[in-house]
Amino acid sequence: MEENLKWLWYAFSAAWIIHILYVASIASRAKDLRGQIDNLKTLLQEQQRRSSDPSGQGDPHSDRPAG
Amino acid sequence: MAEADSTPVDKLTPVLAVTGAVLVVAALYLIFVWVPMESTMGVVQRIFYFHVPSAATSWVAFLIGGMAAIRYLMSRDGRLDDLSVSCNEVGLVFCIVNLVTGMFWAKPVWGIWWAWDARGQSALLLAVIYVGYLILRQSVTEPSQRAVVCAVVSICGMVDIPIIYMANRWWRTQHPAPVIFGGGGLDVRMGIVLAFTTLALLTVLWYLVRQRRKLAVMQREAEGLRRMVHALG
Repeated sequence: MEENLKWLWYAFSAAWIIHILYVASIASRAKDLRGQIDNLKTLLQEQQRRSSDPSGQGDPHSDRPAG
Repeated sequence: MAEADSTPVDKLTPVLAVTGAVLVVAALYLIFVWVPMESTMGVVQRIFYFHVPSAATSWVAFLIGGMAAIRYLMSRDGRLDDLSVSCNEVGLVFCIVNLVTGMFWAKPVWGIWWAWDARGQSALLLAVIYVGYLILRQSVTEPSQRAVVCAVVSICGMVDIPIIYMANRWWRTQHPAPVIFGGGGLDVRMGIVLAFTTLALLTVLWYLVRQRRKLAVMQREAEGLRRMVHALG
């Protein structure tokens, strides 16, 4: 009885560990993708600003070097 | 006046999360407290109430994934590819749970971790097909080509489901004769718990697929932005 209870415990624990790991992987991938999307949006905005500024000087008040 | 947010509020996903959690807790109560003890195997037989519903849930997921793949090939609508990959990935999780719980049941009952019988092998093959599907998704970079190739694999994967179901009818297997739709004489209370746990896991499946679809939508958005950055750069 006790021996069999051990296997029951292992089976249910394994099942829930697999589910929890999967939910954690979804959350982690979502976080990574959110970061990537934010970075890409920033990069795109910079590229669009640069392409709309033909002098290539960028914002004169900006601390960052142009082009 | 503040500009209204154009993103629709997702009310269903939290409802599914709460409903799934409540149903799973109720299912655990039924499994460990309410259902009668099986006379031959004893307490370890209770793995059955998670092993079989996990298989059934994975089959439902793969069938929906396959149907979405067929519809994708007809319409080339990216949202159907999102649904297909979401169902197939979540289905694989349930399929792995089915295999693992089966091993923990086989060891005390049969004395071996794995019986190389027709049902076990066809179930393992199903998992291998969908692991291959996910590897393929990672290796093909062009989105429309990836969706088409993966849709074909998804449709082929579905073919294994009736083989698993019929395996213990067509061949002599280590797995017992069918007890659900084969006249095996399952106790009424055991049948109720089995049906209830299947319902609980299907709710969890629905919740996980919705969460995974959000990820797929974000992946497509990131790919679109990357293309735009590349085109401008």
